[in-house]
Amino acid sequence: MHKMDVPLPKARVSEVLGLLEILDDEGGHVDLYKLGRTLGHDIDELISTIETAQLFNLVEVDNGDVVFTEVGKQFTDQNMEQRKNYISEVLSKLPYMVELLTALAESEEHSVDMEYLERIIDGEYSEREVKYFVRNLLDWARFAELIWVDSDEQTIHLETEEDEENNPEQNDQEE
Amino acid sequence: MQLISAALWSTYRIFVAYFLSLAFGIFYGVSASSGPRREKIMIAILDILQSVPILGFFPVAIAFFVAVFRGQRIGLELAAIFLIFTSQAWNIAFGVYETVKTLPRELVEVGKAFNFSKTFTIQRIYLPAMVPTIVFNSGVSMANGWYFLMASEIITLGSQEVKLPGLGSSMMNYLAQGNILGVVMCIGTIVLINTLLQVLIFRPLVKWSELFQYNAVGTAPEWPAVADVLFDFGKALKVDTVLVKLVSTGTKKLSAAAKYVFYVIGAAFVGGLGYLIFWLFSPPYPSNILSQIPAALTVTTMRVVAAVVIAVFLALPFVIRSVKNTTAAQNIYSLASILGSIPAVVFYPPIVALGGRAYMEPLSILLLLTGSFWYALFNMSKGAMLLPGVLTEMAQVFNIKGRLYYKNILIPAILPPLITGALTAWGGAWNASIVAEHVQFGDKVYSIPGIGALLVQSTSDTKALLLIVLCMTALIVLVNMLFWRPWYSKAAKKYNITE
Amino acid sequence: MTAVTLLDVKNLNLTFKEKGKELSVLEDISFTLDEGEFLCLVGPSGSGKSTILRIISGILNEYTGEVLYKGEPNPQPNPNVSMVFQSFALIPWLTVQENIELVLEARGIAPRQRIRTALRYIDMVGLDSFEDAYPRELSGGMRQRVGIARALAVEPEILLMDEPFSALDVLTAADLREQVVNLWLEKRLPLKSVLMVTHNMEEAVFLADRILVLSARPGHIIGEISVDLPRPRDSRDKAFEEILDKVYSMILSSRIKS
Repeated sequence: MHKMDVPLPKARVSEVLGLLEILDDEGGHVDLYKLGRTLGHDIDELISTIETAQLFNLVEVDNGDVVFTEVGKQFTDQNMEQRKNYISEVLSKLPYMVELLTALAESEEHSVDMEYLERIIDGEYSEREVKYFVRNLLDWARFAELIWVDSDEQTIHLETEEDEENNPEQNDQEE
Repeated sequence: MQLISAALWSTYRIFVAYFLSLAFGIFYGVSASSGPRREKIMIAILDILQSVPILGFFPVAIAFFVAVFRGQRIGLELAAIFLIFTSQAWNIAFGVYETVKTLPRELVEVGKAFNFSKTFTIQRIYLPAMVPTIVFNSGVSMANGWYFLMASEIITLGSQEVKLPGLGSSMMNYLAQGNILGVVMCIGTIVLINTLLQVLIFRPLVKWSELFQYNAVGTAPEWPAVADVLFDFGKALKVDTVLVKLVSTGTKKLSAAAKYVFYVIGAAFVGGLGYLIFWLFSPPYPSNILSQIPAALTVTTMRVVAAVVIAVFLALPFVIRSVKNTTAAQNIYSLASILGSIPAVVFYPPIVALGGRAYMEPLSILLLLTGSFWYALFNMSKGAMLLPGVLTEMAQVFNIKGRLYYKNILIPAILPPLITGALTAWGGAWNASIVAEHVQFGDKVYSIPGIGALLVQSTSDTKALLLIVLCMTALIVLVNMLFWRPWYSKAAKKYNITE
Repeated sequence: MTAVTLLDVKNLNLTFKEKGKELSVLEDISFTLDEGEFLCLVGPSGSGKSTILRIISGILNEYTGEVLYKGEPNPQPNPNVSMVFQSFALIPWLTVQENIELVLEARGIAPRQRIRTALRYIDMVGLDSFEDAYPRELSGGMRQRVGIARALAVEPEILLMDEPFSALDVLTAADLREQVVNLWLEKRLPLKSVLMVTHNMEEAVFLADRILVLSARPGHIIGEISVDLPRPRDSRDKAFEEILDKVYSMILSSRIKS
């Protein structure tokens, strides 16, 4: 039964980076129950973080232990720029992300409204679950600098070259 | 065509009064919360103002505005706007006062830590924090303004009656002509305008105002087009600078010179009031009316109390329904705000004429209910939404039902909002009582004894009129002070569900 | 084991509708609760563990499947079942004693007996001299003691506990868990079994005789682990950690391919 196994990041960027940090401190592998103890036995956070780290091929679960993959080991030694590049590469191949990026590229303004993702994520999910998927997906896509979000207009925009030079957040404040 | 122009006239008056109320409310609320001494005085005054029956203001206001403008149309127009203003301003002022009073300290400290200028602090911290209360209370104020529409457009000057163009006076004309279709069209227009206001402005704004809630979590609400339009208009009309001015003058410590001026104005006011009272209580006494006041006041009080009790009991089933059912609660709430704006006063004369004098007693209580039921319903359903679901679950697990459930769980849980509801219903019923006891339909007059009837009968005698209003207000303020407020603060402390 | 089965839950299924979509919450949940057993349901949020308690306690009744109490359909509400709530569910305007007396009154117990019983259970959870306090005057840990005293005061056979320690800080929770173990070990109560829901794996291993592991939505039972450790237990104990690791692995294995 893997009804919930939709290829979407289920934890936030900071949570996964935190997990990698703990793993690095523990020498590359850690007992599940010890990890659980560190997280105050919050099973939700534990599952979603490990799952997301797996989605990006950063860790694997082996016989009650969480261990680094080759990629994961490298990733922790990289600088932020390189990390973002790697995440961007994996993320832009996820089905829903592909769909979003295509829609953005095809639209005239290179933008879609916020509900776009909520509409395309189908299947047996409750409204809360879908909102949660969307929140996390946007979190990762913003981290990877694939998109930017205008909260006032509730729209998602393609991060283009000029936008990068000209940080959109600053634009907002000038308005 | 006539309907449209009437609608425009009424809408214009309500909006002018509303913007004045808004400006007054912000100024007054901010000043009242910016110093303990001011707070005491200003809140006491506001309490009294709120207790004066709205229609009681009216004869005084007419006398004043007519005198100042020497009977010109503009004076009457201002009197009408003033009446609507008195039905809208107080609750906005109270709301602003409470928000500023409970503004999180950290937010104010941010301004200090980052060295914000005064204007900037007001613009970015004070005004946004007021948005949720202002939006919410504006809905109630609007409904209130429409309810008193009729009274504001028909002005009695001694023995002559002047009608200002508008939906209220049109309805009166149609009624006099027996044109039921016309009346229905007017009511329909009022409902339509209010529904449009709800759908196009207030509902989106209420949702949007969540943005200004401190420490909120989750996705930010969308920035609705209405807000943009309002902002653009505001900017074009320089409303922002006006608002900043209002707040900054409101919070200012009075300079020595200003204090002096203030004292002089205060002294003049007190002196004027003193003179008025002296005049009121000096001979010649309108003794024939004075002797009637105690009995009239007693009868009307009995009717008002009956209306309040009935309003609370009528609201109870709705409240019970909305426990654990947020959709039902929200629907009841929206519907109440639209229905509450219908001036039920309109239906009253023909119905009384139809029933005749014999049925006027129960009918008058029914009219008081239309002016008070909505308040009870508003506040009580708000309380039901607050009842934590886990308490109802607990009741189910331990099989706490019937009398035990109502006595120990439901009634105590909604008691503070129930008292607020009853208190506002009490005020609303007094307001309606002035039109409930004396009715003219065609050339026939129907009347039952009471303070409202007495008031209408003595419109030509200013002295008697003022004495009546004074007695009514004194009674209402006294009951508020000795009964409602102590009961509320006791209940709010004990039956606090958020603890 | 020849223990008597108190509760028999058979093929519980539950779906709810949202915007025209049918979402499954519980899928084919079957288990038994035996006399003398402390059973824990663990699982991530959305696994419907609290929903199962609400079905057994009679709060929820729109489901398919069967709940049998001693072989008969579970009465709703079942007077032999009582519950401890995550957020305590105390009535703020009643004192500690009045909160407990209220549920006794609902059972039709005479006034004098009510007072005696209430005081006895207030003593039992260590709240003597707090009987006239209002909940707001108590710390979270003490409030939950009232919650436990109230649940026990109706002298149930089955005690349902819905995340009873998760609203408490770590130290208070640890202390209260010890107290619950002591109450359970004393066997002075008419209480026969406990069914507790938690998402804290360590808590489950600390308290339970048997742990049922649930998956995320739609909740179904992934597996079952018995905890054969003597009480009181020590979470730093090697055997304890082994079982804990087993629970974690089970809950993760259903979702993450190794």
